Amino acid sequence: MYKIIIKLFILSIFIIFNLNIANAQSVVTDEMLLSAQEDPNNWLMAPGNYTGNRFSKLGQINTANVSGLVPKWIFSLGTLDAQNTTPVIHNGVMYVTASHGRTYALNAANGQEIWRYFHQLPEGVAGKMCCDIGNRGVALYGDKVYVATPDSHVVALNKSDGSVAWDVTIANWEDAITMTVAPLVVKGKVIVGMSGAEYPTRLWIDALDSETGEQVWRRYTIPGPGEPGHETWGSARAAMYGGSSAWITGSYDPELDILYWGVGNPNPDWDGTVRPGDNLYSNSTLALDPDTGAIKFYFQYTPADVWDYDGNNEPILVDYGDEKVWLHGDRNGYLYKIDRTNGAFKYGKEISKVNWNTGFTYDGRPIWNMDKVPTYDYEAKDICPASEGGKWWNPMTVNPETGWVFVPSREICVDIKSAPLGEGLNPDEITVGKPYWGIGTIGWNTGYGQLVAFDGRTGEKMWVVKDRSPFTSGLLSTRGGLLFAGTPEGEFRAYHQETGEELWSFQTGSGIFGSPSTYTIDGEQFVAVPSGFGGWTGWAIFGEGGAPWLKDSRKGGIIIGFGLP
Amino acid sequence: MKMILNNLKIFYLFIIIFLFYSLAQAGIEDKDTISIKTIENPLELDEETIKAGKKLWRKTGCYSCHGGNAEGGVGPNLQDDIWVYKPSDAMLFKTIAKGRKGTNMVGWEKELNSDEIWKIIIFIRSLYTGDKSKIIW
Repeated sequence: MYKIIIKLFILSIFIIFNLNIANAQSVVTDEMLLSAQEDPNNWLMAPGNYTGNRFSKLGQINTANVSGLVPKWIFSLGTLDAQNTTPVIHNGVMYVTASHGRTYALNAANGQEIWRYFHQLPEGVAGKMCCDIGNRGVALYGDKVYVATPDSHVVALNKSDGSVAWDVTIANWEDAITMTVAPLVVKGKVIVGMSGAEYPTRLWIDALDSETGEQVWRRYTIPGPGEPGHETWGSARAAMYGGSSAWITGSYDPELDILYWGVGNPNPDWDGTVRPGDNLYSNSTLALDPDTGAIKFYFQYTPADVWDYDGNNEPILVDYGDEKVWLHGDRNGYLYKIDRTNGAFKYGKEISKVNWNTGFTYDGRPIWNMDKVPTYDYEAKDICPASEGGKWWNPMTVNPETGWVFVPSREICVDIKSAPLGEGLNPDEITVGKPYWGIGTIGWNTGYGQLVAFDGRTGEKMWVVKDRSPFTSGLLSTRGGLLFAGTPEGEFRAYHQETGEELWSFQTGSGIFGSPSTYTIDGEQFVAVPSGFGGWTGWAIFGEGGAPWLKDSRKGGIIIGFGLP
Repeated sequence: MKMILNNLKIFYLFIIIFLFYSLAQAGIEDKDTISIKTIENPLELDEETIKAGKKLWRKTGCYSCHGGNAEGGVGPNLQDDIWVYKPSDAMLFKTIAKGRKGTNMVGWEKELNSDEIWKIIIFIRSLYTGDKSKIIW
């Protein structure tokens, strides 16, 4: 009898082990990525699906029962610092990154580790990153997992065991060109964008062959000499050091066959004097040919930026009847609706208080309020919003079934005076690999956080929920009528989409700066969220401090899987 | 006589070996003492040094993590009296030169010489807003 029990035990261990392996080995196809929205049991890419809407059709956890939500498992990521990831799930296996570019495969039912990949970093790389050493997640395709690392490698891992299939270097991190982006796979190409616009750099978006890592195309986000738009920088020197990063994952419309990808702030961040002009394509969304990287059209949110309104936030693709648009919450304080067939401006609506401009021209160009333009001789006071928005980088969500958009936001303003080289915080000369912000003085004024719901069709504000601290997580909306959001104080909450009523909350122990996702295992719905304070948080304490109570906040590094009892 | 000379040679050899050994030990002790225990900033907290330290603070990009006036950001506040480790000159020097394992603080000894590190420490000291009774430098 004992022998039979032992044999059965060994057999069951063998089966469980091989189930894990089998799950980890299964492949992700183009068809699966194209129909990811229709497959709520998985979460196949960081933004959820190609529209980037971070909406799930799961409704098992809903407004009626969410109050009973409990943690089912907790996994330690093994690192502190900014945990910016979105957990990605396929066939019961969760693929998740930690800060420092580490990658794990977990059993998504119980958080048990299946494999890990620790990318060995060169000493000093953290000193070349403006805003912490976070990572925003992986991409899945075929039998591989793709991750971008802080030292500007893109690594393909075998899904089954985490072994390295290929590892390519696409920039020299010592030049302060680094990576935090979650890759996106489109038509067999791994699309990534670079970080580093707080340094004198010229950045880009790359497409790599998913099988080999070989570069298929590179799209510089600043036109080179002779290319249209190069003249918008005033000089070749300004253009070649003009930053314009691309570290937020884009979206893809298979019908139009267009890849939409955001571009961030020009360098130096707060001094426009040295780069007179619109500084294309900084603070824009580019509409790209995914096969060649050619620019089909673009929309620029903040030309000639002097406020660091780093406009590379996500474009979310939405259809309102026959109207095909992208919605974009910008750090400049506006929610934009843009025609995604041609880049035409539809509206710009205030997410938070905005006073740096007085309105728009017919084509969406902002009209500056000169009282809020900092110069070498003039400290502009109480500029709203501050550099983080409006809406910071943390992704918003759109429920395509109601058309509503939910935006993580803040009401914080800032005082700024710019300065030339050798003054203020600036070095005496431009040095590759050294930060250059163009700043004289800067101080954030104390404010508060808010969640804002809009009807995306019209831009009408439907409700606002205020909180002491800014909402620093990405958002998740579900068919269960729920909106999930996190705070830098560690609260993970569920709100009623229709009213903004708070229905549930859980203290995760550290600030939430990543994004939740949801999936099922054997018919049971889970919601997973990373917790771990970090990233650029100068806004909390510089000057009066936007949220001075966040000073010396507790760091952390966990993923929690929630479910119903 | 020959035997006495031989004994003397052995004696001198022993003395020489002993001296070398002692010097070597002293060297090791000095090195450890300098790098870890009793090292003190040779510079004075005066306006000129503060200004030089601030310039290096900008050039090196310390403000990127710690803020323009060390008020904190990605890295910790260096103005106040809340420190994980006792903020002695030796600890600050070692942290700036070598970095701090387990954090984002990398070592800067390839870019900054000792004199420059001491100037940055003087700049940091000049910003102190903590309890004066906790000053240990």
